[in-house]
Amino acid sequence: MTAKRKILIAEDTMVQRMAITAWLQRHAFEVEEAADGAEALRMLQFTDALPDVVITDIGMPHLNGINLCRRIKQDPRTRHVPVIMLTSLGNEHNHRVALDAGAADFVTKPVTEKELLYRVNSVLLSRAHAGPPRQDRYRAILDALADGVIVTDQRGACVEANSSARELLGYPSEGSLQLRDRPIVMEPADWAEVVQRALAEQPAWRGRAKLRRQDGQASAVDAQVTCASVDDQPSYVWHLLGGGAPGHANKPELVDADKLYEMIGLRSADPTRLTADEHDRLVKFTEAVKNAAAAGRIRRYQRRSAETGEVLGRMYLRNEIEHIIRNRG
Amino acid sequence: MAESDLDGAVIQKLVRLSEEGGGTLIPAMVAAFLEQELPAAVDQIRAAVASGDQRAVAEAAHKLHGSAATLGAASLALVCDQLQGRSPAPSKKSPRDLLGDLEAEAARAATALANVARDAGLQQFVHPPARECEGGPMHCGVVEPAS
Repeated sequence: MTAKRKILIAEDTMVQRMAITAWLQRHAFEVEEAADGAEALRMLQFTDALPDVVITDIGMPHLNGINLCRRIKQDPRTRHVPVIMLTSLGNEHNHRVALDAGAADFVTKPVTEKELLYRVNSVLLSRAHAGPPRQDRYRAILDALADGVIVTDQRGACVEANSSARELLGYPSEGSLQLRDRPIVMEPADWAEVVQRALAEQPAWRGRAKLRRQDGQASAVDAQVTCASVDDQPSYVWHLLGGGAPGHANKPELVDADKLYEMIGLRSADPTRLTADEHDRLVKFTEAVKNAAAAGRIRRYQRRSAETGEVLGRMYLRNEIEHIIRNRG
Repeated sequence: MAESDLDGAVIQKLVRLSEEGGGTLIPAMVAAFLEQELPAAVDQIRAAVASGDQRAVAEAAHKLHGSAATLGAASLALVCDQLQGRSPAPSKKSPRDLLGDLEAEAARAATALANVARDAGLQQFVHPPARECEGGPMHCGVVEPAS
């Protein structure tokens, strides 16, 4: 016997929530209900059995459907769960925003049972074909690579990037890069022609390129570029040779101190950037502090709290960063 | 007369769905609508019209439209469309006049839905219509048309 498919509904109007629940239960779905986006998010965070689909209204108090969808897609634990948005008739803007937020599909209000069931089954079917576990497995493999890998479209806009590439380019390691509207490849200016010419004669183009970082600066990398079909679109896979992980020769010369503050859960208003050596040293230092805290070796300096190792580690690292900044004058 | 304000096809589907689930769905939906969503939405729209806040009018009307359409209250849903400025046949009426239409349609829909719920055989979920209700004209979401 197969388990019931579970659906989480986030809808703040009770009448519509009741109707949707009844429709889905009639078709043997197990339904959980949330009265707004914040409640839905809490349910997702605390459940051991994630739903197969989330259906959410857009306009809701506390956390609207768009932000709920974004939060679901940002969390590695939940990002494979497809989200169907309930949008208003004729509101093209909402449709676009819903899809940009990562929604798998949308249903136009007023919702009908037939339409909703069609969309839910369609999303479940495509998910079964796509296989989220497989997607996750490939994503995990890509993210485990020390070298950066990005995929660009023919204009040079980034459509995919692994963790190392994100780090290299100054983006958070999770979440969407949202670079589709802006070419990321800065040099060679005629890279598409150069690459295509090379690919006509050999399996890959290899050379020096400059990629646009989050802060707009160029990051020079040695890259090997191949052509592939991604989502049925001709795309370029950029293997950033030796780039990405700290310690490699091709990482940017300067990195944001903010990233280090983020690592220790602090936010800095100081835009000062660190040299590669300083960055390496602090990464090692952070790891050492974390390991010492995990082993309980730091705790003896601070007796009041169970989280003292972490607190003390943050303090040490902040002092270290500030020391570097001060000495630089 | 009251039932004619409702979309028969929608009601028929809801009745079937309710019966399949043990008969409680329609009374529960109608109760939620008449006791909570409808009076709250009408209050919000009334306040927004009084303060001239068209955006708040549209937001409240949008919410009400969804529930009204789900329950087959087509005329009420149409006025909600007009209040949002999204009707296929835009109204030239002022927001205040549309508020009067909304209150009239809300009263008619409330009576009709109360009858539907009553026909479903579970009157305990629904208060009697406004004239019989001790809670006043807004208690059941049944409101008198603006004079």
